[in-house]
Amino acid sequence: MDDVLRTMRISAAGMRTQGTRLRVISENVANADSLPTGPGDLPYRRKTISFKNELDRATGADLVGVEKIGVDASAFPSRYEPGHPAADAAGYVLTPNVNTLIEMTDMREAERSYEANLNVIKASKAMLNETIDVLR
Amino acid sequence: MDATSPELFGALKQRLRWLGQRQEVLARNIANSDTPGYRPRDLKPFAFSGLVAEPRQAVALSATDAGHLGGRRRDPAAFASRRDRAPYETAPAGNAVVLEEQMAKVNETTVSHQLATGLYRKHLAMIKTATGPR
Repeated sequence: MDDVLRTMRISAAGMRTQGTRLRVISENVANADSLPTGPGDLPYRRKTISFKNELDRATGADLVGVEKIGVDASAFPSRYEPGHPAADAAGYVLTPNVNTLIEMTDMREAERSYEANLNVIKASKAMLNETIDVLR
Repeated sequence: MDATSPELFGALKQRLRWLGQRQEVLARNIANSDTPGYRPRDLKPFAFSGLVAEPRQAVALSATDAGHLGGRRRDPAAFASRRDRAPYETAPAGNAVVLEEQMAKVNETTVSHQLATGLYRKHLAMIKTATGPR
């Protein structure tokens, strides 16, 4: 019985980390057009998230957690827009290094993992109910 | 065979424990389906020898001083798990969890659990019939 309850704890941790991942993705998508405000300023830098396995000492279960929310160090693309307040001498404006297509693909993946965790919880619940039904 | 034999109940109990523990291992795999470098695990198949073997006794180190560390003792009755040697595929980040494979295993575990509890209930009903007033 303890194992099944622990199963739910593990899956819940998985759902929580996927939720955090979705938050990071939404921040990126929302800021896909956050341009710099003045010359020499930098636009929004894409955030990344990584996961790690961590031991929960209270239950002795290996839970999944967020390792760190970092930034994407890739170069900023630029766009020719001489009228923009943040344009450099040549008339180019730096734009955020967010690729909406990548973010959408990431979002689908997070959604799929979330669903998988949810299904494990459902299966475990069915198992628990079966066991309790033996008493009836 | 004696209908009230405790062996069958014992075997079913072991089976249910194995299934519960397997579910935990699979849940860990699915929760880590996006963790870089994570390799999925699975329990060793449930063997007949596990049913007839004498259960090992848990012996804890006694702590006679406040400075002694208790340590995390592994449950001796726990079933052994191992790494999946031949996963379907490994992602570039080193993660070898395939959600479809893991979900199929979860489903398999749930169905086996249904079977085991069903058998348990039938057996119990049989004893109740034998001991009942009518």
